Amino acid sequence: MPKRGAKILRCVVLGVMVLSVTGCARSQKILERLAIDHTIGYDLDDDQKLFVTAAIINQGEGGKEVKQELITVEADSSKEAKIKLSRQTSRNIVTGQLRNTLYSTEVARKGIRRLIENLVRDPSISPRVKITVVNGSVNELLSSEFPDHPNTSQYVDHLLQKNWKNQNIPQVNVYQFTRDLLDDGIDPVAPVVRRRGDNVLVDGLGLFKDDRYVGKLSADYNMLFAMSRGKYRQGEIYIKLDYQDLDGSVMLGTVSSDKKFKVWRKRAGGFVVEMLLEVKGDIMEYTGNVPLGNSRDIPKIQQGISSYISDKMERMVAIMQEKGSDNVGLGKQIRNSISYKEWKSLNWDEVYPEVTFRCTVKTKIKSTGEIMEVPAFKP
Amino acid sequence: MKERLYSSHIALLVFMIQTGVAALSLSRKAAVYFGTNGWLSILILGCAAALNIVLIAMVNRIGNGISVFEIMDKSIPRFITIPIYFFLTAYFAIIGCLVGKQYIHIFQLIAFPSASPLMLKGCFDLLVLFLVTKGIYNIGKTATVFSMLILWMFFLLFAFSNDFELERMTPFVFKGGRNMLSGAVEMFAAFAGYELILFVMPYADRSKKWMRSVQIGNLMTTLTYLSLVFVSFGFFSLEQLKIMLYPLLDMLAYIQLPFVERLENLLFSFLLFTVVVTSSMYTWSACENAQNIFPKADRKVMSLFIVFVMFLISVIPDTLFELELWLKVVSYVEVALSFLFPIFLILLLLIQKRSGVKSHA
Amino acid sequence: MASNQEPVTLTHVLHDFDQCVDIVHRHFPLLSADIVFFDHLIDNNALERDILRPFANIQADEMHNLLMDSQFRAVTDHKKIIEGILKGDAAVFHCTSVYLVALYGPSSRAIEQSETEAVIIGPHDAFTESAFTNLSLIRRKLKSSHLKVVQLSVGEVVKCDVFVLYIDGIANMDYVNVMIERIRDIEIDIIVDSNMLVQHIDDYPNTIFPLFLTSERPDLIVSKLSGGKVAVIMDESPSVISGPTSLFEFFTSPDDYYQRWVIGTATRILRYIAFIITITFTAAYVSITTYHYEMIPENLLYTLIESRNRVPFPPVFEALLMEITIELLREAGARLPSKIGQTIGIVGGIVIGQAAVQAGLTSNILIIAVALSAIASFVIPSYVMSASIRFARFFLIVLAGLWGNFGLMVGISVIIIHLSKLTSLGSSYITPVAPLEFQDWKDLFIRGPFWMLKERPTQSRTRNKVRQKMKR
Repeated sequence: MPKRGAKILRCVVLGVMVLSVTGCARSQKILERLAIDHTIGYDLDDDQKLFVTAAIINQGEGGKEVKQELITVEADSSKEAKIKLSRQTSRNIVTGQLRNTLYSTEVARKGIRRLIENLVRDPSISPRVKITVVNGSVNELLSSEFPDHPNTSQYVDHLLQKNWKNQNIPQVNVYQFTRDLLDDGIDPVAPVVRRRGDNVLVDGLGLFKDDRYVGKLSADYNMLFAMSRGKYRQGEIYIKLDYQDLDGSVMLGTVSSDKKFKVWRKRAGGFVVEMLLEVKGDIMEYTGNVPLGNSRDIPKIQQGISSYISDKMERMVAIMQEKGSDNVGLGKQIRNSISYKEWKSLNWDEVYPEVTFRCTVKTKIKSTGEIMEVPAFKP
Repeated sequence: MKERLYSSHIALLVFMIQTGVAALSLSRKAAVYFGTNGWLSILILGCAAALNIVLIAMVNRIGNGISVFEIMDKSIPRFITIPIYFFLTAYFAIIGCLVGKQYIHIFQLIAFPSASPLMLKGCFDLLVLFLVTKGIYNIGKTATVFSMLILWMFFLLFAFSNDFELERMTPFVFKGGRNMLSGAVEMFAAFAGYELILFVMPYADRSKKWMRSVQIGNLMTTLTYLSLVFVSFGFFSLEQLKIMLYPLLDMLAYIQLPFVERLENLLFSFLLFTVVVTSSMYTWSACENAQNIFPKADRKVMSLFIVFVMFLISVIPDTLFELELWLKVVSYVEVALSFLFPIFLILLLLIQKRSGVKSHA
Repeated sequence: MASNQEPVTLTHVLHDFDQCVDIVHRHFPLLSADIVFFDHLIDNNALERDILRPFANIQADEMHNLLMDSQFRAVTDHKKIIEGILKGDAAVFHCTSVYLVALYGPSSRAIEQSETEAVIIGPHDAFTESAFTNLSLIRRKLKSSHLKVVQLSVGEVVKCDVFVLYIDGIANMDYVNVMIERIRDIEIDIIVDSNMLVQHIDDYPNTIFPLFLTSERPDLIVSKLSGGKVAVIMDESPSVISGPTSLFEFFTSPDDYYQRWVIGTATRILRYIAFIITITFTAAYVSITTYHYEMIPENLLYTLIESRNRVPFPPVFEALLMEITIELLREAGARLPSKIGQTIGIVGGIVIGQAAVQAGLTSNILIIAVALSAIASFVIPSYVMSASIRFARFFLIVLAGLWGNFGLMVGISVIIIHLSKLTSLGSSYITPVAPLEFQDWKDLFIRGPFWMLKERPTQSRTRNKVRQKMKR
């Protein structure tokens, strides 16, 4: 026998249930009624105004194949662009599936802080949205058709994804970009892509000073940059030997590396940062003159590899120092080695170019592949 | 076969009352108020809560487990206790409703921007009502099941191992923060909730173990918060952490699985379990107090009334800013109350002990 | 002359069975005796042995001596006589006294395999409708004088025998007494099956979940009894009740114990996964396609959009439509003979499914979701529980359609709150979880190796906790 209280309770519950049935219809986002934003690109037009290109996954009426559609609009901000864009499509534009944002070098040079900020602000946008700089016009890249890849925006996205998986480029998404942007000891980077013929290629690494694009690191430095940033696993690296009497080249496979930093002060003021890098790998290809079978010569090759890597690493940092962007994060190392007060009183922008960077590499060759040394032919 | 609140229930119940939406913004607050390595502050706060629980345990020990109301009614005239009960009822009801409202607000922020918050809140309140009317034993049992559905989320922290970097934490301790003290009080709200155990006392299993299980519950909360805030300090950079409204949400959004991504709103919906328990326990405490004002009222009708009033109160703050402000004010009161109330009770008990041999304890 | 000597009770009895053509009345004028019985309730051999042959061999004056034999029970109460005849006794009328002879032995179903709870290995016998056969099946497996059987009867108009079984020294007498009390308290005209009986004795009549385990398998009931639970056998019903029960018992099957423990554990975990799939899969589809498009991984996005593209309804209606179709197929299949049932499966599953997708009524991914959750629901060993869970699923689908993930969680919360309220014979329905008893987990969530299963379940609250002492 339910008591009176329980009875009233049940009536109320039932009443509210019935009322709520009419509830959420407005906020429904039924999949097939959406225009799903895949990629947004930003260009500057001649009047220095933002020119937004959106690649949208469009499904076509009545069960046609899902295709990509491009809509473009001129706007002051990304959100204004969204409003304007929505006038051009019959469906609701949603950004929850946004995968990639492209910035032309012109836009990036002016600073992309505002644009990134709004990506972070919008809760529907994933922190995994990629940030990519395009060498050239974004609109042109997105609207060009690649015969082997029907869906350009997806092609670019997958290209970046693959290169990131192979550790050719660092993964740069909204979260990581913001993180490095706001950290006081490091500056962000972003991969640069460019159209070449019937393909898109990774053109190198865009260096940012704060939120401004200041220059590009050529694609040769990709591996080294990856090594300098974190643990490097299962990569491949091509090395030109030029050490003592060594020549030829080595291709190291299944490379793994680990880095450590050491910081000390110069007597004359300023800092020295030394990077201790340990590289391990298997030789996959070798064209040098020193025979590999000889265990005495392996250390020599190891040294050759080490010197190549350390030279190149130092050159890479020199490029960055020249541009004033601390993308490796030397500041972080220095910050962690001095007191808080000193760090805060440091004018980092002035100190940074004067920091001496040294790289010491220790290479270990795990194996030289499946063959023993082929004996040299004696005529 | 009368059901009891076992000590394992109590531990998990305390854990579930304590954890809640506050966890979402905890790492931001730690960063803003304590600056570098702010995660250490969680340890301090956890210890403070543990101390407070010791106070409550003393109330339990001295009073031999009798209910708070009995202690009060024994030596304070009824015209004074009634306003106190009334205040407590109103106060607990307000916390209960704000906690729920905050949850709904965040849910709206991430998933249903255009849905009516009243509808969602109404639904939430129904759930609370549904749980509260089942009584404390069933709340305890429900909290246990719910905690099983929440605790696994702890392992999600390992998903961030790739982007976690110790160097980001810097070697500095508590540098670059501001308003550390008032911030600590605000953060302490994330730990609050264990004080409701005062009202649960008479229903608990009569053994000394159960006060220990309150400590275990608090320890669980502290460890959960600690690991969470620790990971977010290594995952985000400090300045980034300071600007994130709900860093935990962004962390959850970052998790990607092969068959599903953007888990934040799914995982956030899991938090419903703990928020419902939190809100229900506050409502239940409000009901307990109200029951002492109106001993003859039908418990179910009274719960209905209180939940309805809670629903009405929650209509007032309609922006997230307002809500956070309310919560801030309420949390100050809460911290004061959770320390002062047990002390007050201890004093009362001591006076009773000295003056009267009436209590056969 | 015979009619004059007929005792009053015989006419009364015959009058009571007026218009019952199946009653048999035989008159022995030489012995001035009458016997009345139902031909189809008695064992003809017993009749021959206990009545007919002795009657043929004696003279009228020896009748008194014969009736002293043990098979003749003198009865004076008219009501008792009627009851006895209905229970399969033969009533012997001699002079003014009446005797009942127990000859009960109706033709009954032979012991067969259980259709609803088949196992692949392990004993294949199943309970039948005869309570005595069932008792014998249990006693054969539990040869112990500690196995106690209490007889009760239920039904005001028609009495039906109910037997409460427990093992003395293992079962908690509180449970036994509560069970007996509840059965005694039933006041109803008639109860036909033990599944009906269950609903009269459970703690919460309005829940959708079964609060007692009913099984047709003697080995299962024996294991429950030895675990300290109480069993109830009802005559004329092949399912035997056991209690107190926890929710998780419905996910165990006796053959978990007949396999190696790793395989048994894997099967058990599979069932829990099946449970989760059944209850959430379609609801998650509805929630994601209606509100949370951002959760779909990119690779799946295109396929999902394409398959949803032609569907004219919102996902909730689409899902409800297909779920109801599946339930229709299941119900139709269950009612029809097994051969036609298969045809229904093929026609329904393949033809309707295929056609619905082609006609653009549903998306093919939904068909997969619905079919998967239906199949998963049949993995759960208990039919009653599987039906409850399928019902709960509809509730979740509707909520997911209303509020997406939030609705889904609200639904799950409601179910959990409801479950934590439930009790079975006064003990918590979700026992090893709340109250938290980790030692039970190894026998409910996994099937631990036997050296781990040393204690009886805590839910039984037995004094005799230790089940095995082997130190290995």
